[in-house]
Amino acid sequence: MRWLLQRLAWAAVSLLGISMATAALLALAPLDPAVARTADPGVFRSETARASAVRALRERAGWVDPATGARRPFLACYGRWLRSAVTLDLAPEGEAPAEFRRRLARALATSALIASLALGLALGFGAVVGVATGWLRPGSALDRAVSLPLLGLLGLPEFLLATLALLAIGWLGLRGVPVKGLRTPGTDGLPLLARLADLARHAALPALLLAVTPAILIARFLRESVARALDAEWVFTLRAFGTPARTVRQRVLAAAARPVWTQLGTILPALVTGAVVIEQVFSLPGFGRLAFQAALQRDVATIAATTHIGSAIVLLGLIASDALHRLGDPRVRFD
Amino acid sequence: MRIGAVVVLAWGLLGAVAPWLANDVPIVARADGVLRWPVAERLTDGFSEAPGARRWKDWWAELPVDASGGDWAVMPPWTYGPGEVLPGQALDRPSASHPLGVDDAGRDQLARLLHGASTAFLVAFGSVLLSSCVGCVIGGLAGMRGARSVTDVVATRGIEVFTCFPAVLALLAGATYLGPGLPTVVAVLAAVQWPVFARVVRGELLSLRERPFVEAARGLGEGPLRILRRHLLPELRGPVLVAAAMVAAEAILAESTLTFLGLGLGLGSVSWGAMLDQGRAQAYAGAWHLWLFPALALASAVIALYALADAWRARPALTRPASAVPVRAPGAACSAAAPDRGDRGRRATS
Repeated sequence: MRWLLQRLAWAAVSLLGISMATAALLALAPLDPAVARTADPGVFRSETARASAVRALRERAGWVDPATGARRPFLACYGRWLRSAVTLDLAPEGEAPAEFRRRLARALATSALIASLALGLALGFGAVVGVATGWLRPGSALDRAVSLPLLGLLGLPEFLLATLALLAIGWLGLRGVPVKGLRTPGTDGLPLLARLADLARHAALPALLLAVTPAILIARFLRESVARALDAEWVFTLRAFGTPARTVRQRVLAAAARPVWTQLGTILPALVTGAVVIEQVFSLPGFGRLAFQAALQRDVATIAATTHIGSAIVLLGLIASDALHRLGDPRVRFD
Repeated sequence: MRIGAVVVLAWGLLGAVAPWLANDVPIVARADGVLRWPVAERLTDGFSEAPGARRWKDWWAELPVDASGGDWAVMPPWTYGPGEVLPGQALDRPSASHPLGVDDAGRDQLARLLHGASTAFLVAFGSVLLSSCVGCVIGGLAGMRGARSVTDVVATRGIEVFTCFPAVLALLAGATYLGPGLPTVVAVLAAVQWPVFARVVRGELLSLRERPFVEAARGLGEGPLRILRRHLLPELRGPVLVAAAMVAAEAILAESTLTFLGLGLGLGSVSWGAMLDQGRAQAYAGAWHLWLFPALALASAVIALYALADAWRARPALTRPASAVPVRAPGAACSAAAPDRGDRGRRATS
């Protein structure tokens, strides 16, 4: 318990570091959203009009003092930025804060749906393949048959896999598989069950593609972990005592599964990066796409929200995986 | 191991000599009585024109066969350049004159693939070099000072911050300051990847410093620098090499993803990522040769690097000082799996 509190406190420090770094990057002159967004000379009639637009944007973002027009010191800017990130009261132009918060929540829900589906698929596939190949020892016929195709999938970027999947769908003539968005337009009036089915159909392909990399990583990791556990001396001893094969199997699998929990924590960032690509390909209104678009447009409000929320999720995931590992194996210490 | 190493070496060599292997300018030529090295000239200052302000290839095509006029040229074995546009041949399928076909802008795919290899390995090598230097120093300091020291706490926070930092933002910042291009991509990849090395080195050092042989060395009065050089660095070599191979593979993959997101090397560059992105755009039009060949090249390089990492991880000789006598642990003979830390410790001390 004390460990968990300590970890959370340190994670908060890290989060502060991340948000400071982001604010610093944004406030630096060439990345200043105001300058970037008024860079197109055709939009403004005169230099004074452009200057006042820059000032207005900087005021909104809190970089300058509205009363005097002077640049605020960095820490003051940072304070405002942090507050806006926590309370989410700074919305992109032309949007009410409540509206912005709802959009953010919807994006988060979309990504959470896809990511949890993908994680489930990855765990299921990784567990089956990893245990099978590990149990038969690396180098077995099954292992050799499975390893190379899996490595091949790992060696291709996600956007290409997605394109190939779409090509295959077109080639096979699968009309029923939707490839864009998360719901069919005009299905709002349908009963809940039908809407859920529609959602599942839309989420299936993105989740499957997002699951590819984590699934292979888990399978490879579990393969080594199972093989190592099988060769451990305590297994030899268990067998020598005449322990039933069933019990030995259970013990070995339990021992092999433990390190995988830590591995899950390191997979999480990959899941987030992969989500940016997959959401981009399938035009899903998810969190990764939101963050990416915000960064491209230097949209301070959205960057503030997505950076903090995204980093917090990754940090919490790292802590959760370490906590699971500790729960499973009291000998493990992370300090 | 062997296949992985061979493939990595082959791509590395091809990438290193790609400009002299496939280009539309001569390697060395005697033009108007002057000896010139157009390929090298083009690599260094980006501009090299044939006499009479012509394209080298036109000049070369008009050369007399017997070199009696005094002018001669040695062309690369593949006489198409990565940026050379072949009019009227856009999207041609693979044929005898263009084994990998022609892309949608009318450029020979084989030449682009070879030049893409040099880009891939520049990206991989550069980012691994940079990130391993930074990561090993930071991880090393943290590990040598020991857990709970101030250095370690600061380093761990730094690792966490850089692991979770939004990479897209870092890239945009990099592109704004340095301009899109190879240095930007390498710098940003290094910024994202150094925590990998730092974590590996720190973790190894923290467990190594508790091991009996290090304690014994300390007991014999050896200084920290000597312990580091004699006992710790040889042990670190294996894990760092494994991490380097993995990071190199991921750098090559990341470059293509960045290009897809529009944050890559920029329009003028030749890379597998750019080719794949082009192929993706043309895939629905049925131009399979635009994505298949770069995909094979990329996948083979990445798989080979992963295989190399696996092989290094399984090789005990790399993870132990050369002077130690190898003793086989029970069961190690029949498994190619990585020896776990505890296992290795037992063997090294038995």
